[in-house]
Amino acid sequence: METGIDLDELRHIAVLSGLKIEEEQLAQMAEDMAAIVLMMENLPDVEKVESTPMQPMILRRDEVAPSIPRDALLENAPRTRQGYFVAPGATD
Amino acid sequence: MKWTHMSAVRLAAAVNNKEVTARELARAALEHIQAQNPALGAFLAVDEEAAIAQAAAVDACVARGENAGPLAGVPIGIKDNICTRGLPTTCASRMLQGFVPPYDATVVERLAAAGAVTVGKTNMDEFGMGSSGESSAFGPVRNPWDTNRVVGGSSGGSAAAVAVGLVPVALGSDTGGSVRCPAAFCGVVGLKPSYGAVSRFGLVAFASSLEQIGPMARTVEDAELLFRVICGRDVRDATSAEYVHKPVTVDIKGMKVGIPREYFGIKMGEAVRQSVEAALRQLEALGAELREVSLPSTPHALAAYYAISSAEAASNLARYDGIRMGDAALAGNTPDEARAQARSAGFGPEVQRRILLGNFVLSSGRYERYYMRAKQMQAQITREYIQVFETCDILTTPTVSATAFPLEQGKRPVEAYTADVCTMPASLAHLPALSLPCGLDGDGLPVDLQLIGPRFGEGTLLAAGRAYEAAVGGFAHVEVGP
Repeated sequence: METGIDLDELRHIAVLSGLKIEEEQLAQMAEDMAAIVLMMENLPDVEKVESTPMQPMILRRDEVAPSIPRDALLENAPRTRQGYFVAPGATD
Repeated sequence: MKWTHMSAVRLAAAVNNKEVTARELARAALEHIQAQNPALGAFLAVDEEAAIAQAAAVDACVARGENAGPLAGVPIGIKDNICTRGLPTTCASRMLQGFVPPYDATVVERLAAAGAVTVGKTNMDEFGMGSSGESSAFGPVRNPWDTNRVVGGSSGGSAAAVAVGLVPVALGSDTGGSVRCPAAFCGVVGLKPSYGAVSRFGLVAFASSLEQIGPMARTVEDAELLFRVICGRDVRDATSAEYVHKPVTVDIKGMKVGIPREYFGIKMGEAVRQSVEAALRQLEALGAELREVSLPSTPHALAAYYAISSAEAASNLARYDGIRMGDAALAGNTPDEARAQARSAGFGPEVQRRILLGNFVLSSGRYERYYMRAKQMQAQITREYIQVFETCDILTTPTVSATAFPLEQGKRPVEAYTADVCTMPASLAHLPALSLPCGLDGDGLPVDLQLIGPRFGEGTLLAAGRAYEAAVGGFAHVEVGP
């Protein structure tokens, strides 16, 4: 079974991941990943079993409660303006 | 009096009984950290002023004649992926360098309510991804038993700090072994609780369906005390369970202790094998009934773990875009460019590798083949454990198959991942697991034994741990410096 990581596929995954992998690092990254993917490839098929349910998630009541103040939330941002995060524009 | 070598239980009693003040304990810890941390790299941030202020509040409480809590004045280290208001929380990553949370994690709130004094944030593998303590963006943590060796990860800073007595107890987090592995390499006690036993609110997410915050200490009693304080239902974490921990008295005589043959069939250091086998004989001498059991899917846990944890990590770390937190110097002409620049500069190579791996296994055409099969294997592993616990009270295994290896050994990733082969299965099955010192190898490096319990069986697990610790007369501690 083919388990090598195609470099074009890895470039595409990197774009989807929001990562820039330099060309000279791509081959090594692909090789490292291929070794791990080979382990996954070798996972045997198991008969579909009834998953033992974890305890159900207990959602809290839908009640309004104090939240963290906006200014505190903005304090870690590199750039803010008038109470908003600043990001590069998507359009001209 | 050498307060820095006393247990948390003893220290809290001393503060509540006015034998010592919380401020004295805080100063002693801070001085010890100042002296030893440069050689170890255990702490990333120490806030002296805040620690003394917190200690002063504890002292005021005692002065009013009130009980200041079960952890009164106890200095504690917090792993740097757990949010602490006003104290940086970097996850040992450049991506979060300078990030100061505006809130405390639930576990931090509970520790403060119990009287504990946070002295600082401990070093770790970046975003919890690593088993050696070498993947921190701010320098590796060094093993106090031999500073040319790794400390284990990812909670390496907490393990080293506790081993040396910089603090008597610390918090780590464990996704596939990140409390237990450094506990083993540093010869301390580490507990990975059952999934859901401890709130994850304020724990920076890596693999949300697997990770748990856990205590690290030099005695089982201290680990249990810390666990009792931090565990339990939290409305802010929907996955937290209605769990209240009460210490149980369980007679180890007659306790059915399973020995899974698959854990002992792996390549293992001879010193690890001998120490663990000696520990098994000790349990038997205490009256435990040892029995061989089988967990046949154990060899597949590694692959299943990396598929699931990487997939979750890729999703969880997608939030880091350099816009809501990050470096103002990084810019790009478009949002995508800015995001890629920030993430590539902010994340180290191991984190980037896991993100790529995670998105790979989740991608179209790969999802059913890798991610879904991994989830099926997880269900299979869980079922096997449930069956084994029908006839056993606890299981015993080595925690790690080797002792601490030299720094900068340059292992390839897949080789490094195999360090967690004994710890991953319990994580996948959401079970509690306790790592206990059980010996030293020929180089004087620690070996730990792992006890695994049924889900929410921490009472039995810790009772067995206490019995073992009492039988061996306590655990050896490393002495560092004057």
